[in-house]
Amino acid sequence: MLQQPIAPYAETRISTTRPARSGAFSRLAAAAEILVGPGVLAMLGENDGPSMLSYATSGATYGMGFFLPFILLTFAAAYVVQEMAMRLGAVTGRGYGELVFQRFGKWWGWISVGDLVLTNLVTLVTEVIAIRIGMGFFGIPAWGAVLSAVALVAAGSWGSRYSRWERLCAGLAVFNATFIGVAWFAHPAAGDIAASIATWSPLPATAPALFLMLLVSNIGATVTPWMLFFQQSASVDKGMTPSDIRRGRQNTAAGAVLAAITGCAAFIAATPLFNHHIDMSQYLEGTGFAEALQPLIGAPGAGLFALGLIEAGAMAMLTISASSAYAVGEVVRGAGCSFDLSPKNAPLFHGTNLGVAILAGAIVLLPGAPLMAIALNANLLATILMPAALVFLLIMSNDKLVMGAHINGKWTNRLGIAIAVLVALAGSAYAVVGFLGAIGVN
Amino acid sequence: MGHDRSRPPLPPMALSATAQTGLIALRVFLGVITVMAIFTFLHGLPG
Repeated sequence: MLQQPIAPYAETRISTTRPARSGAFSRLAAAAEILVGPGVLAMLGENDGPSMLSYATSGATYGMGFFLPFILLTFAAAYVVQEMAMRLGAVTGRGYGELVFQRFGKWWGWISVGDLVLTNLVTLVTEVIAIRIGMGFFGIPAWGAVLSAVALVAAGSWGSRYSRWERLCAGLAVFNATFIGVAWFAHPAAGDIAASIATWSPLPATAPALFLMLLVSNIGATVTPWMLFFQQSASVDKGMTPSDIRRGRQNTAAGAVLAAITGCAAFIAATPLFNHHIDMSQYLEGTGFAEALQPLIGAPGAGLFALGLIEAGAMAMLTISASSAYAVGEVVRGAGCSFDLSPKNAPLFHGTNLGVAILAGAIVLLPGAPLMAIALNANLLATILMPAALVFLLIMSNDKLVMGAHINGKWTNRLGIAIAVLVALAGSAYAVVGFLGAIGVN
Repeated sequence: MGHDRSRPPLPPMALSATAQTGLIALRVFLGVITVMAIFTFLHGLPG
């Protein structure tokens, strides 16, 4: 059945958010504004605890080589995906979950939200673990780390203003740059960095299962379902319209570049562990990389790594809790769904935002919980479930009824399909190889 | 500003039978590999 050729919804949304700017100061303010927006928050939010641990594990396991350019490639892929999510939000004024519900029906809507809530909960647990590991380096007990993480999310809900919540995230995101400091203390050779980016070598020479685990984990560190939900919903909450798409693209590109730099810095920071043949397994249950790096790069560098982990976990606590809150708020009819609404006017939204953080904190405090195993597997789950979210994103981005003239271009579709196929292949290969190994088939 | 929940919902998209089948097949496939990955995760836990 053909869709009725009604006027695309896109053309009915008019920007009311920004007056025209003039003068040098205003242009500077506009430039600064590009650095504060859903694109930067999504990208730096995804430079979270498990992602930084994943990059660092790749550097510690393989040293300079294949994974450095691979990390850069994943951020290029993240830009393609996140730009679509931003454009969908700006054009339709609806979040990802809301659009899937309305265009594909309740069944697909609840499955999408179910995937998101599951991966978000697992990921939030890992964020609390990252904060706990980072604070543990400075002697702060586990309960103190959990309390801090939950209090931060509660502070985000306080004030009932999206702009206030966004500034809180942006303020934290600045400290993602601490990983650049750690990389500087690691004294990498510029020639080695350039050679590995230019040649994608040396290639990893280990068991396929370990290589696949890190490959998939690095993909899940950059391209994940929560980012789609978050950027689309936050773009709506910010009040973006089709006239803001150009600014949204700049914001998303700035986020990809900044996050790629700090992600690569975390990778480079851990390469001394590879160069000195350090066995990381002895550090996995303790304060981890910071402790292992201390004899090699000194106490200041190790302290910065621990601080970076705290920031990575804290920033992601805010954005991933918000992603869950947006998703649940959007699919429950009549529920308020915005940081601009008070907890009294949007109890489900703010309750979900805080509730998932409390649940994640409670899991981390469970005696004997396999925390590091969860942390190392969180990104894998995100990668495995990502292809379904990407397929819906691609279909909706080509939906003329809601997107009008803003549908995907030819190259965006080609790249989007290639990303979906590669993510699905990588996730499947890991799952099959790991499963065969687990049941004893070589 | 932000989410306007008072607007009427968009009409459902008319998906062909092939597209519906493709989405269901993808979902089943992802479900299977998710179960495999969770089994591997549980199998790898100490003790």
